[in-house]
Parts: sequence; structure tokens; C-alpha cells
Amino acid sequence: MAEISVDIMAFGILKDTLGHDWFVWKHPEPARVLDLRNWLKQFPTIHPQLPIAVVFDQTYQPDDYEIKDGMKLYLMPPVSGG
Amino acid sequence: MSMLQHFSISSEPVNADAIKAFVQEVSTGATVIFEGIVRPDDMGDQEQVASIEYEGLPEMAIKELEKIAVQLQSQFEIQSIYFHHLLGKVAVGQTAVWVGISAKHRKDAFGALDVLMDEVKKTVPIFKKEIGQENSTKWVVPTLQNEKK
Repeated sequence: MAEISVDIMAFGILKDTLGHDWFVWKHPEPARVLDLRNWLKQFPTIHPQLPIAVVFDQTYQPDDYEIKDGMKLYLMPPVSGG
Repeated sequence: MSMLQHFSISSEPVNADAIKAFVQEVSTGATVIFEGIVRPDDMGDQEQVASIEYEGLPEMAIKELEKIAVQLQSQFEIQSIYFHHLLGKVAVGQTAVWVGISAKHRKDAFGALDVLMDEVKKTVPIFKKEIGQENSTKWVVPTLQNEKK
């Protein structure tokens, strides 16, 4: 089965809870945003109630969005500017 | 109706006079200038916030701000809008966000400012970390009770 590999950059509290701001995520095809969210559940340092947004192409992507090989994604906790 | 607009996110502060000049380029009846200033909030354990460090994704932030501007235009009769948010460390008492809005009438200017700031706190990708007087840090996560690090 083919596998995708994407670069992911984490922001805010996620950067600290994951232990790094950049990492590579690999997953068998097809991979969707929901798969990435489920994968993140394995980290006990991430609060289970923390909403996490997945961004590609400067747009918040829904759970069923397909992640393709080579994409660069951003993981974002709730925003807190202003 | 067209609207004069400026959105920027950077580590450089802006001058409030320049914002006023920008929003008053159009003939207007009301101008509102807002500055969001870092507060010395209580971080717990008798420690207060000394500064806030902001990080974000400027290009996406501006894209989200442009969406908010469309929404504001549908709700209010505003003539111009200026928004600037700092990134990096901002000390207590210093301004982190500047907004200027002009409209024919005061209610539209104030209303648009209020909605703008509410929407910024929902979708614009900027994240802040409080830094205490003793150098403790705490990410501000609106939906969670924060834990001190």
C-alpha cells in the first residue's frame, strides 16, 4: 500500500506539547484530516478537549479533506490574538 | 460600496497618527481608533504577566481578515478599516493590536470594531503565550483552562 509523507508545522501550545514545531507524518493512502486528528490522540501531552485545526493552502480543512503526499500542513490550537 | 482597507501582521509597531490619517482619507463622520494593550493579568502563584509573545501565520491571517472585512461590510456602513497586529514579545502596557475604522455614523464604526475584534479571536491565526515576571510561561488557549509551565 502506498504511503504519503507530509511536513507538518505546529503552532502555539501544540508546538510545546508535541515537543517540536516541525515534524514529518507518514500514513497509508488514502489519508484524511480525520486520520491525522486520530493519530494525534496518541500523545498524552495533548489535552483531549483541545480543538485542533488543520490548515492547508491557508485554509482550515474539514475532517474528510484528503491529505496528499508532499503537502505542507499546519496544526493550530484555538487562536488567541487581539 | 468600496472600502479602503489595510491589514498587516509584523514585528514592527505602527503609529496611531498614521492610522488616523489612513482612515480619514475618505470623507467621514466618525472615526474610531482602538489599541489593544497587554495587561498585567494574574498567572496564578502570585505571578503576573510581564509580557506576551505572539506568533502566527501572517499571510493566512490577512486572508482571514479580508473575509472578516467582507462580513463587516454586509453588516455596517463603514468606509475604511485599518488593522495591525504585532508578532513577537510585547511588554505589559504596550500596544499589541491597532485598529482604525471610519464610517458615516458612530454606531457603525463602534459596531464594526466590536465585531471585528470578536471575529479576530475566532479565526485569525495568531497565538499568544504569557510570560510572567519570574519567566513562567503559559499559552493562552481560550477553550481550555490553562496550565502553567
